[in-house]
Amino acid sequence: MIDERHRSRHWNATKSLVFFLLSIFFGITVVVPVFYGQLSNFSFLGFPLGYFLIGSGGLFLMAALLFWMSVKQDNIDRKYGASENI
Amino acid sequence: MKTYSSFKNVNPHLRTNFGFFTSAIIASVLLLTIFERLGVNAIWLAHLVISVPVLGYLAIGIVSRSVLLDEFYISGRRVPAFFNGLALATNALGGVGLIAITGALFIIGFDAMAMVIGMAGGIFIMAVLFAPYLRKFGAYTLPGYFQERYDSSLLRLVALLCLIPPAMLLLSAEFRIGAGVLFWFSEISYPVIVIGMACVVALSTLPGGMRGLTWTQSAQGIVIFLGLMTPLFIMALQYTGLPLPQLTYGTLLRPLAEMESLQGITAIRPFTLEEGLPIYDMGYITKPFLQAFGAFGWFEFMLLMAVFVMGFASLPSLLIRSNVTSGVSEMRRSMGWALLVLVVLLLSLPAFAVFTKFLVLKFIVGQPISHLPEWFQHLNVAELVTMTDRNGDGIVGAQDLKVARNGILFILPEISEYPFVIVGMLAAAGISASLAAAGGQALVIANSVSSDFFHGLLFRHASNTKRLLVSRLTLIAVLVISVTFTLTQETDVLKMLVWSLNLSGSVFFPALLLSIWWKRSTGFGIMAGMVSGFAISSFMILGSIFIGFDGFLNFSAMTSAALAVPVNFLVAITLSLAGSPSKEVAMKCDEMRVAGGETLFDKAQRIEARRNRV
Repeated sequence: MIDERHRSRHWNATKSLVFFLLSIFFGITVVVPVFYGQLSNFSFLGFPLGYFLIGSGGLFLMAALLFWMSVKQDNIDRKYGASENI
Repeated sequence: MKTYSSFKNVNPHLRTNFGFFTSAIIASVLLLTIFERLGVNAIWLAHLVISVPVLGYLAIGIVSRSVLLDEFYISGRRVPAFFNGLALATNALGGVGLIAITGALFIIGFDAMAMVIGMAGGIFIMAVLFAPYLRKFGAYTLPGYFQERYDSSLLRLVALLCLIPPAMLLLSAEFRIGAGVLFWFSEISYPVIVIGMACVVALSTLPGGMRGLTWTQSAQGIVIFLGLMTPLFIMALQYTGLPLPQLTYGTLLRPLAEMESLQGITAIRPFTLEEGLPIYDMGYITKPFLQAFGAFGWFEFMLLMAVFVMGFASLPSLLIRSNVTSGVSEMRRSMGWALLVLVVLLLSLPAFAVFTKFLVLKFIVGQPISHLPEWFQHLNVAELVTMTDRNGDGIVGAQDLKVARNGILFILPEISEYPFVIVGMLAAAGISASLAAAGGQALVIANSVSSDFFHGLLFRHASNTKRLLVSRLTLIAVLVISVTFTLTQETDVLKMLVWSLNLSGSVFFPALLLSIWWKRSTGFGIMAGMVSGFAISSFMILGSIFIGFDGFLNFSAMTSAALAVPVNFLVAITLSLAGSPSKEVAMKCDEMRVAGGETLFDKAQRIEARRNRV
């Protein structure tokens, strides 16, 4: 069981992880469309760069981030005694 | 120290069983390819390719029968991360995603990527913000979660009533699209096909509920993979030299753009979302694939994407999957698998569209009508492609062709003259996808009605047998209503998907977000928010059907969630601040955020059971 004193620190660590993930999400889905035109002057693997960032590489990045998140969050949980298997 | 998470035994033969299923599918496809060489009738082959996996689903459904409440509602909470991810991705994609979105990508090119990115983004948001916390809570249904979280039975009823319309819409859309595919390939009449699909859904979910659904959806995911990847791999090898279609189709984009400009397909001016999005059966190919924000503007693109993100992140049939893994940490990994599988499937769709467009421009557009190859007649007869020489110059111009949105998947193998078995495999993939999503929607309604209305509000002491019986009877009723609805209305499937996402997004997205991430939220605030979100979204949708209401500011029925969600947030936050949550309710929020410890729902059940004994 989690120690009551650790509860808020555990939650703060979780929140900063989530904010980091959400900021990458907004980078892919909002910032890239805003600069879509400029980005498309470059190309990568044949894709215009904007297309690649939002429609191909970006989605794979999101999937990879979820695996990374699960490892990271497990570490946070273990550090503050919030893990399932103690 | 004692651990509360309920680790139960996982079936050790799971991988073997699915390995066997996959090999059986591959073996029968190879066998049928040989039969095709020997000259067996193509229609019969298509029937066989489609019916082999369907028989498999029926068998899985019957084998996973169950009389345990835990297994019927949440698959016994012991599904391994990968299989839950596979089932979730299959359920999210669905037949509409696989068939109609590929068609939309073919017709309007890049702009339809808003839907692809929105779907993947929705799963990402669900994984980051909702799924692990809902797993810790562990309720059987979404309305049950809200009731337990805020101690409010009224909230449960409101959530249940808001859950049914979007799920019904989506169920009907899935039946329509699956039946449409089968209708192309067989001489069976349309009503019979729809009823047949409902029977398959019933047989694979009635005996085992969520348990049956989990394993059929996993099997359906495998069939979709095989069906979609086989033609794509061959195409990718042939034209790009690498069998990685999701990444290599980029090299075809430039030649494609050159061919388009040669045929006079030039940049178009954006329309509104209703006109730009291909929510019709046959479309012209007069928009260049790479032109961004050409079918509809940048703002509409972002709105459509936001609707998909919010809708998929809070789709009840997907959220209920966050309860079937053995623990919170397993759930997080499961979401990783889900998004990975979904992204691989989703990115095959633009690859498919680009390859098909490349072939259409290479072999059909610009050719003299008298010299069109033999297969063009097949496409024409099947009404996948129609042609009218509008300027009478005897040459097929880009403006002369109309292409069936839902038939894009079947045009590619026909043009490339692949064995007919491949067309059959694609059809099997499409039907599997729609069966998977239809099963998910039907079961989420049935389980909610039984668990939240019958047991939760009417008969608190109903026995488990009765609860399961009500679930099964509701499932049959839902399927009957949905078949009737499917056969009597003609709304476009893509439109129905967008409406359904608007409805579920505008009701559940703010409610879930606030209930997990804001401790100050109160049950009354959440409920008022849900009602206002549902009212706005359903008014805009019904208004667009019945009184020709075409929107408010820049928001129309297709993007009503973009208006309803902020209103929902505003109402929920204001009313929550006006009151204050009781200490118990706020503590549940704290408890949800910690992975360890007893599942909240189990704890509540334990306390209630003890109270009943005393």
